[in-house]
Amino acid sequence: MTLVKFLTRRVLHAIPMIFGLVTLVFFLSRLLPGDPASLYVVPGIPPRVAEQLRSQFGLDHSLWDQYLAWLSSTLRGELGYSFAHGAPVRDVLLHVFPNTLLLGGTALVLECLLAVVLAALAVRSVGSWFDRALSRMTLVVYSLPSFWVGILFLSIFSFSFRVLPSSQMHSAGGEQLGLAASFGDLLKHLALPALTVATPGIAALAAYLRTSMTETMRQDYVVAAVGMGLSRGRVFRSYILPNSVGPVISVLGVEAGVLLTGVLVSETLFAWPGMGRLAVMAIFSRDYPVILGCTLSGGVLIVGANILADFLRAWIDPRIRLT
Amino acid sequence: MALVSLVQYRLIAASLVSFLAWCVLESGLRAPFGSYWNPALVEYWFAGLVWIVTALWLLRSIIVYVRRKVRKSVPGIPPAITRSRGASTWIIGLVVYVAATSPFLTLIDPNVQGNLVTTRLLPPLSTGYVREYLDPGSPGPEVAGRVHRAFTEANHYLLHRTVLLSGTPPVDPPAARPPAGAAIREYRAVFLFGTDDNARDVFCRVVAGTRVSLGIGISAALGALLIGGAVGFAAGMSGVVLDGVLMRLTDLFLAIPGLFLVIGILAFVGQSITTIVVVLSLSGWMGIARVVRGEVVTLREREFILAARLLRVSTWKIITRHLLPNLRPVIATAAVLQFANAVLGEASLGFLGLGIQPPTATWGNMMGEATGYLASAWWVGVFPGLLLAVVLVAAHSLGANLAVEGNPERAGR
Repeated sequence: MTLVKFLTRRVLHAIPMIFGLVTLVFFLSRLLPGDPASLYVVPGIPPRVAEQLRSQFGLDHSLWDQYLAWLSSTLRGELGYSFAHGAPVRDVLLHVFPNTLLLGGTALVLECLLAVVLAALAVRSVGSWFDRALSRMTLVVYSLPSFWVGILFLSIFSFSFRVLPSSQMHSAGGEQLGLAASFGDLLKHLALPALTVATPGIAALAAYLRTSMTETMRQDYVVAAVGMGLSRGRVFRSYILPNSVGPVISVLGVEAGVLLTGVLVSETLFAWPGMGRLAVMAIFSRDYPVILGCTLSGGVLIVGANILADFLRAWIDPRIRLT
Repeated sequence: MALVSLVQYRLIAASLVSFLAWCVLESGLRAPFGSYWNPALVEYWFAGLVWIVTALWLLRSIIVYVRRKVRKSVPGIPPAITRSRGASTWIIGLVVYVAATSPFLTLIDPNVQGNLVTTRLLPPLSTGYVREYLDPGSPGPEVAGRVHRAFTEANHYLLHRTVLLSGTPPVDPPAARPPAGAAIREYRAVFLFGTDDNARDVFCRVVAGTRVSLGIGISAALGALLIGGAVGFAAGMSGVVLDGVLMRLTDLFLAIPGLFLVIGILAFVGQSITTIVVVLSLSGWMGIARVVRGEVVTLREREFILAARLLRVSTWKIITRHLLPNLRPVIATAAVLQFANAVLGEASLGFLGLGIQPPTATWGNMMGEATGYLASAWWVGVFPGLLLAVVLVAAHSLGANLAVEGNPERAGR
């Protein structure tokens, strides 16, 4: 029951955030010079047509009316019409969203798995050479710009050794492959972009996990468990790991923003047909509705990720629900 | 280019002569002089000044070092306690120095193409040739007097140089033969970082890009510091209502994915150095605001503030004497980290093709351009990225060190 209460509170907190986000995006698009209609109003156009275009975009109403119209249509999920794609923005976004989710999700899973493995190896013997090397390397790896990491991966794996493909989601003619083969093909294409996105996150998570684990290892119940003669693996799995992931999960919520930026850059570098690439292409074609749609859905994703992180944390550690 | 250009004594000498002669002429020691003013000269003068200051500083450090060694031999006087922030400070200092003196390090104009046939995409460390000639066309006004003549000649050298580069001996591309009577110097050079798709020296472009990238990073960090500091301070000092409003606003901006916001704004206002600095400041102030607010809220409940208030110290004095000095470590840490973020943000924009537009070189747009021919030339993208990575790592570790310095309790963790 308390979990439901906790979650409702968090979601209610998020509503004004989303509302503010929608408002901010609207005023951003209206206060800045250049309106969507001006793109189609070329110098030679008759004034009557220009006027009609402006009214089609709703620009002849007052700012307040425009805001209300934008609010109601956005809350209904209608984000306008993309002329570059010849389709409603919602459909364009929904079309590429699964790809972004696949890339981001894979990167997230990769981050978590590798971070746990690295941190576990480090705390096996605190102060060992591996532990010290990891502590030093995490800051360095976390600071590396993700597109540079991507360029390095590309030069090494795609161009020097030619083991992994450099761009797109599928090989040319990939539609004719069987189910298993096409899945393998997808994995191959996924490897480099996902690794590029995951690299800074692995470092950050491993550092946080290591700190959290060393703190947990000093707790009485761990000492007791070791004293009772439980095996090292058992102590780690049942006592140290579950009690250490709590603080790290809330870091994950914050890392969602970093992850999204990484996805944006990585998608452009590896020509991955997702939301980030869509946003960048939209700027080059001055496709304002798509840009606003991407900004908006990116913001919603981050708010959602934070709620999800809160939920996971509260689910794992019931004490948090009380605060 | 690099091995030659690192010791561009002619360039340095001409800049210094130009600057000193200008000082003499402007101070009225000599007869007034006709207009040979050119804004392009200021860059060289600034670099020359930085060069002199650095030389003097190095000299002073050596003297201090030697003195300390000598004094150490005297028993009874303990050696001075020095505090070190490790290599990160030195690395950042060196890069800033490179940015400030970049006219001396880039012998050739970083945006000018070399001989496209012989110089395209040469790998790092390959040797080539440089031809440098002075355009005899406009020797400047005919004047008498040593200072005047030195000034004119130095300026002429700085402004009317043409430098071409090539991989093999016939340096000049057919289109650009030196004019008759030009003073030609030709010498071998090493392309330390190779050359790019347009037969431009990558080293020169990286050095030129350092100036742009660091300039944007520093300005954007200062802008973010200004906004974030003001918002955080106001929120921390004021009552519940304004505090709540300002912090919700901060949360709101935090919810927007940074790069998306930047791209969204840039799409509307267009890309120039100013807009990029403004946009990066607008997207980076939230962290600083939060940190400053948190610190102000705890500081203002502390005993020494209470004591000051009981002693009827004015609010202004409490703020300037007691609050702000205590905020310094927090602000320094946040500023350094924000600097790293801004440099990274600018590079990301440049990489995506949304930042400063070519041919002006920045680390980001060099990498963006390089992705087009990464398969045949890895060096064009890797070197600017390497420098960027080094600066980011240095800034992050400097930030970590500053955080520990400002809050020693955290040192153990």
